Amino acid sequence: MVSIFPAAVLMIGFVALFAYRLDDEFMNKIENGLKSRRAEHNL
Amino acid sequence: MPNGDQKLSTAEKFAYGIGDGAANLVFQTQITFLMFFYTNVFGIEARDAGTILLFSRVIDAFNDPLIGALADRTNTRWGRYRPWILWTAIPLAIAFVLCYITPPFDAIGKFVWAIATYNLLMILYAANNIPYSALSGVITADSVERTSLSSWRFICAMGATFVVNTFTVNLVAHLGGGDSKIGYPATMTLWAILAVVFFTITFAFTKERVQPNPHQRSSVWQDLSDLRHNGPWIALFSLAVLIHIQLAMRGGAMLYYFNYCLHLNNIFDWIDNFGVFNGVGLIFTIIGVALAKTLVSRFGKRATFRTCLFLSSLLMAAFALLPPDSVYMLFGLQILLQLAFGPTIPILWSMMADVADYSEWMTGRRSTALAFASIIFGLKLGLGVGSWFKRRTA
Repeated sequence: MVSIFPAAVLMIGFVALFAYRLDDEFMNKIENGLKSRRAEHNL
Repeated sequence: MPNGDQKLSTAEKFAYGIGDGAANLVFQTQITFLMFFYTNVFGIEARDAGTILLFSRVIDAFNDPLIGALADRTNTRWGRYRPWILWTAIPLAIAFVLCYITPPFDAIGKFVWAIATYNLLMILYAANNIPYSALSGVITADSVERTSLSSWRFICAMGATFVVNTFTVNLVAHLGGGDSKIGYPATMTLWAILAVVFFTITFAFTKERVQPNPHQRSSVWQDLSDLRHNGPWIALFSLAVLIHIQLAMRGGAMLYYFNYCLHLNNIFDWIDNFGVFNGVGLIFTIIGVALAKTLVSRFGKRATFRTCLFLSSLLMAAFALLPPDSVYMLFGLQILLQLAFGPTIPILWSMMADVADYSEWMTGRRSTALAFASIIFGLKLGLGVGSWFKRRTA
């Protein structure tokens, strides 16, 4: 039980991570979007 | 400054990391020694000491988002978050030492002193550490550099943990000349001075490069509402809660595991084994943390996190299959587990900054510190739930 419960909780975390959509491709899109937006504001 | 490629120098990464080294000179001391100090030196009941710590968690639930919202609305020539690190350094150091002073009061007076000083310390700690955490989201806009920055942070934090856990007991005895009521405040004064120096280095040698829109005007409610509609934030919050439930359950339970499930007395005394087991774990966690940037650069942040989490879960479950006398397999498994889990630590924190980016991209509003504060609250919630669950299952 000492290791099975924490392992099970971590596996739920692994499943929860599928809802996290920010993969590298998406983050590049966001970074570029913010970069051009900041350039418009001279930041 | 235009937001171009924002690679950071090693010196700036170290200057950032040393700030968490400073914070952990305070935080690790609280975790490891405060309860013992309250019951064995200060002179209050364990039940009262537990009440003080529990009360502080309730205050945290309100304090953390409040600090986050205030930090996001700070505007100085030094930036939004760096000034908080400087402003809180000396008050935090003083509150830290006050926690370890034993005034000549009766039982009620001591309880009031302890609850006042501990909560003052925790409020100041949040006022320092939440803006510090948010700083990692604005030092660079480069997502991979943020992982590297967080790796430096946790390597420094673990270094401070090692120093505190290794030297505090001897320093208390040495500086107090055998009197712990003198030894504890003297030792904490030493850690406090070091912490102030480290915080000052972080303030002086880091720079905030990511600036929100200067015309941004939003209420705290608007910022909270933005988080509620931010899918990646919800996923990350849940993840922070779950990971820290697991850490709290595993932390204390391993001591019981060594004591009652393993039969290693014929090789070492069990407590020596447990110390070595933790030491080996810490070394390989540091190696795992240091590997994070390389793995993220090669495989991507989300894929690395997912794989490391999956492997950690399997390796942790494998402890249940170990024969009770297999010391080499036990240590081998611990090494693999900590190597697999290590990279998740900095990646989780660098993802918090990515979530703030996502929110800004979606809404045009940026609230970096609130994004961090809310997930830090999730982290504390997870530790609380995990500790409760551990007590129920131990």
